[in-house]
Amino acid sequence: MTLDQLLERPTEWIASEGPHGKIVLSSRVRLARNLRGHPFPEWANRTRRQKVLDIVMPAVAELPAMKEHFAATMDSLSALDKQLLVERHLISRVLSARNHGSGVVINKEETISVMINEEDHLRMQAVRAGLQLQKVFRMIDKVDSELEEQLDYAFSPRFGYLTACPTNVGTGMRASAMLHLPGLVLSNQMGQVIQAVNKLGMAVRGLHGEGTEAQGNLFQISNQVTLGEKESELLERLDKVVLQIVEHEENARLTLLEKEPNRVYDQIGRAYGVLRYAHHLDSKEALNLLSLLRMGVDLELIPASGRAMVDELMMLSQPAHVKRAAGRNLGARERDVWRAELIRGRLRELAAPALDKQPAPPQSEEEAA
Amino acid sequence: MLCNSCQKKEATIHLTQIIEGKIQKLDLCEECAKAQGLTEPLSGSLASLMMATETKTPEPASEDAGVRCPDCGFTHADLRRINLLGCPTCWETFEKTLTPLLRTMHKGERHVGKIPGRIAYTLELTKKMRALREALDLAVQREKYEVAAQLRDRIRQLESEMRGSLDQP
Repeated sequence: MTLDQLLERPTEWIASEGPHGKIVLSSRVRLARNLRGHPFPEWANRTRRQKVLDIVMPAVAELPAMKEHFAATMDSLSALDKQLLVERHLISRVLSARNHGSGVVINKEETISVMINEEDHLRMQAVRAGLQLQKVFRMIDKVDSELEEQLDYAFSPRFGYLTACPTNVGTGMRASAMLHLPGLVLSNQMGQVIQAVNKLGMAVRGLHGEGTEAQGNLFQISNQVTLGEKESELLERLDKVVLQIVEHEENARLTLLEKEPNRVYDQIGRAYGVLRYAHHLDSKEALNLLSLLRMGVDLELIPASGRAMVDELMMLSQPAHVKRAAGRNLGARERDVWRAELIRGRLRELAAPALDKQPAPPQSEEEAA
Repeated sequence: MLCNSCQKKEATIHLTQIIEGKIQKLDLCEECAKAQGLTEPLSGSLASLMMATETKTPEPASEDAGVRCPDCGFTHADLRRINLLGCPTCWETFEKTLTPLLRTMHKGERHVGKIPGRIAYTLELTKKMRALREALDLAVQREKYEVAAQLRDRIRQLESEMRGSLDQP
């Protein structure tokens, strides 16, 4: 299938709602694998990289799980195409920077993607809505086991799956959950949460993984250790940590509503007002305001149908998606105008939030301040 | 998890700071934290600390310093430069450098997770082979030559099976 056909379809994990979907947007598991006897992509020359691509790409494309797929070599994609795939979390920034000798295969549901010659020969990932790490792992584990029958993986009984970077060796598995935590951010508890999570051997990162900013109150929690623990143990631990954060977030929201209802209503009301009527929105502002609107849905101040709309807008308001909707290359300011128009148009379909009344229980000015 | 700074003691102080929207993380043992003036979490400048420790690549184990990977030509200097390995064989070539590094970032230094089916099968055969050889030695010691002959036949059969399993792509 073509890239347009792939992008036209609704992204499965955004369109559906999974377990703990109010707070956990998605669960993702990726496995790093390499071929025996071939240099890792960073060290390999053009010819050697091409050789690996020629072996791996057809093997991946023929998998039953990838029956209908989009496949492309990186040198065949435009800068915009690559950015679209990054914004959809289907490829990494590292892969998008590559050209000759690298490629990607994505299934039509956008739940499985296999990157070829990123940092390792293979980086395969599965993603689903909500918190369901075990299920997502089983999906990608199956792909891995099927590929293993055709590809000669580099494996050592001592170090496990051999990877280019020592941080991935062993299971080669990085499991992560994308969490929406406006309550913890608004109540200034995120610093503490990050410290506690780090102590448990898990990493907290921004929207697009390693080294990215935490925008829109979105955080990725992932395992750091890949060697010395089984996949099932790592997943179980991550699952527990995520569930605890979900509980903290729920408590933070309840406390905010109880102690500072005016502040919560104000934030959500302002977010709606700006998104509904602004004519100029940059992607960062849009994402941060959409995050507050999403919390409004969770608090039942905005109709439940708003959640899927907000999630979709979070994706569609990113720079490359706005360019694509416009059908031509736009400057940054033009893009902000297009983005505002897109969001205004969609929010027209959504009933205004029930924020007219003073929230109960009423608070005095000092308490609300 | 070992201390990021001295890489010797267990890290007991874990720092996280958001600098320009990026999350920075540091694990230190008590002594190193004190030496850096970080007795209270988040009080010091984590940024400067990160600069000092994060770019630090493993000190070359003396045995590895002049080594060149026989498969891909990768050297220890290359490892310091790109912070990645050259090829799967590098894991054997630079084992001495990598082992202490793994201790700082993982739980132990030995893989306990999934094993590719074909390799699991080979490992199983290796185990079986070891048991048969021991049994053979014992049989010879006890002069039970009939049993020993049978065992020798089974070992030969297993050997050809193992060759077969390794030759397959």
